[in-house]
Amino acid sequence: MPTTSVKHRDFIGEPMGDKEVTALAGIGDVYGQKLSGQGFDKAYVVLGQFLLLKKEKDLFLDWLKEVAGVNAHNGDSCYNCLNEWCEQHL
Amino acid sequence: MSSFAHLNDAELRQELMKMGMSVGPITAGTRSVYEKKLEKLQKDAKKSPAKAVAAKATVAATNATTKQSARKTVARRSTRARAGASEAEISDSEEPPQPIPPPQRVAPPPQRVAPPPQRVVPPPQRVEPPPQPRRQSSAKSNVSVSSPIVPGRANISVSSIRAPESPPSPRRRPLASSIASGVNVSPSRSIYSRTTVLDRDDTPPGRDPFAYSSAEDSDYHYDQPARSVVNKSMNTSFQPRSRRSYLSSTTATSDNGRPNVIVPTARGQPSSFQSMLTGLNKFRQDTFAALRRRLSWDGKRQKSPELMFGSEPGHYSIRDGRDTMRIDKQPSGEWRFRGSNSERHSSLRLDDGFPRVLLILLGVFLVVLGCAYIASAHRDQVKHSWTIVKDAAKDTANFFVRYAIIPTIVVGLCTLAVVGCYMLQRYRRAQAAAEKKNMFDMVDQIIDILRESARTATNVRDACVAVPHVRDMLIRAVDRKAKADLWESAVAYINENESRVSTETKFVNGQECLVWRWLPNEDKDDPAWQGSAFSDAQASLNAPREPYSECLKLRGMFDLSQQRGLDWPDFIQDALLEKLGPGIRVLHVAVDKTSKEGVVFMKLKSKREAEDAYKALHGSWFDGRIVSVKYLRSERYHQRFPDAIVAAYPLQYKLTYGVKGDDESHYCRCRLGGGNGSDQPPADATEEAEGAVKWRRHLSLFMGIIGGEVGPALEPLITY
Repeated sequence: MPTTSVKHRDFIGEPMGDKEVTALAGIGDVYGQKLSGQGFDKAYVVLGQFLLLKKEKDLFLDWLKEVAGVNAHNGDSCYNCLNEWCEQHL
Repeated sequence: MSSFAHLNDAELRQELMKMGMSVGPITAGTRSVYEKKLEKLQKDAKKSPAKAVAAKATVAATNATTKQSARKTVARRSTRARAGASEAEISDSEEPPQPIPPPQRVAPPPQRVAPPPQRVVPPPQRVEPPPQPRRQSSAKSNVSVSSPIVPGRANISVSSIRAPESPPSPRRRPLASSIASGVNVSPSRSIYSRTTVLDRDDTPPGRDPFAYSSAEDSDYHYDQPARSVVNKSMNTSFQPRSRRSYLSSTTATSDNGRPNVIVPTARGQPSSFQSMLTGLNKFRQDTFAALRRRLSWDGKRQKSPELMFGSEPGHYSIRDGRDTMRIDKQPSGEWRFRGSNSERHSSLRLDDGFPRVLLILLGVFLVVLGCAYIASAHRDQVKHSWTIVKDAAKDTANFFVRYAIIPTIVVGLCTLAVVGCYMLQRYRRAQAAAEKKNMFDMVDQIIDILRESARTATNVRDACVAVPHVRDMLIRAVDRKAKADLWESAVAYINENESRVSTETKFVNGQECLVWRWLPNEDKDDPAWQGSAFSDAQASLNAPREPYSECLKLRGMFDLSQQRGLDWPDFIQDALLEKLGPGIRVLHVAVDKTSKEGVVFMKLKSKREAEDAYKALHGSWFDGRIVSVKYLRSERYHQRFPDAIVAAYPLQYKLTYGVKGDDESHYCRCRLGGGNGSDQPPADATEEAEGAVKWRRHLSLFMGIIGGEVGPALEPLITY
């Protein structure tokens, strides 16, 4: 398993609370702005979409690509991030 | 996406579900994603339908839903048709041709009825040991199909749900039809049955070694050497057929993606079944490998083990002669084998092979390893944290010492000091008071001694006591040193403050020492009027309204036993005059020297003055006695004291302090005081009296010079 980023660990370690969307692993400033422009300004909004898509990886990746043009690698880390968060906190 | 724009959410969802997707809610936010997915799925399906279908089927198998099973069946069918493999000869018209296994096997498998254990399995009619391509039979819905693969050999009767399809396998599959489902028995089948019966007379035809409930139908598919016949009531019976030729286990995968597991026994009596569950395949392989290991069937036994499926899913039992092995699927996913006959009780735990102790040891080892790693890799941090812990402990201790213990001690000390000071003060005060009291007691005792000695002394000269003598009388010898201070203070007090005692130096027995002398007269000289017993109002109440006469009788003016000297009646008269004052003129006073009541008679100038005197004297304290007054009839008074009839001048003081002891003046005063009735204006002041005395003295001196005598002729001269 590849090592996870600091962002990933930070996000997973605690309840997400009011964190910005950029707190998600794989979502930087640029993606964050794009997502915020579409209304996904908080991490929990993205989590909502993630859950709506039934945690399916390809669907989520497709959605990220469609909404913010997130590439596969970043989408993957975002997906992992949310998935592990769900495993721990849901 | 646009291609699905005409679909609404529900339809899109339907489509996706048809493709085997698990679909979440389709909303505005997710719709595009799902449309894309559907598009992709459809494209994939077009490109490689078989693959897609296979994939779908896999998914469906995993999900194990009936619907998917149905779809699967269809897909399978089509696949088979497309594949067009060498399978042939399925009597069902709907079935695509299936490969016809060569009819090498003649020996019909023995048919067994499940329950009785005395089934004899030996397949005596094994003709061709080499494996043969297996004839596969498919089942169609509710159509009982008998497909004569080889005449007189097999009959297949398949129910709709059970669609066992096996790829050609190097195994011949003798078919057995259940007797119970007699409807489905084809002629050839019956023939076969017959042969079976003929072959093995000990085996009752139509026994189901494998009987399981229909609930399992969709979950399991058992590929048996013997074909099963499923009757309409969904009871399926399998008959395992053992063939000597099956010496090796073979795993084949059918074209629908489901592998067949064939687990023959070591002796070539395979009891293999095909699982429909892909996920369980591996599992099952393991299971049967273990099973094979455990069931060391010996070759001599000519019985094939019999697999029985219980009424509940997950329970199987395998019978081999007298031995019964139960296979239970535990809820935890383990398979448990239980031999009923011999000591084959064993439990095979497939998921954890380690004993618990080993696991615990491993865990402990890992923890130790982790600690060691942390200690070695982050030495600085460990040290740092250790120092932090130490500092924190120190700080805590400091905190408690500084903010809890020291203040408590300080406050306690302060309180103690304050309380101690207070107690000390009180103690000292009490001590001082006690000392003072002792001192005054001592002083009182000294005065008592002095007074007593003065009273008992016959000579005034001797009425003195040596100071050391007094001390020796009061203080015992043992206490003298301890009470020296007390004695000194008492002596000092008496010397300074006691006016009735005079300290003198006297020679006693030729030795000079201090003596105390009691001055007895000083306390007797004072007239000692001591106030009134009644208030003015009471005195006026007690007094009669009108004065009866100008004569009074006073009682309680003296005590005979206490009077000393010869001139005490004069003292009493003076005291009365002093008390009444110049406003009340007293004409005559007589002291009854024999009375025990201290009676004094008194005549005043007028009745009004008698009333005033009554009020002034009645109820007064005089020298420790209360004085009572009453009126006396003047006739009676005059009868007793005839000289009082002529008394017209108010009395004067008989004893004047300044001229005490002066005989001449005393005489003059007496004479003048007891005046012979001359009407002289009252001399109401001492100075006046003094002046009169002087005048008389000069006059008498003058008369003495001229040789005359102061007589009544000179009386007017003398007075004024």
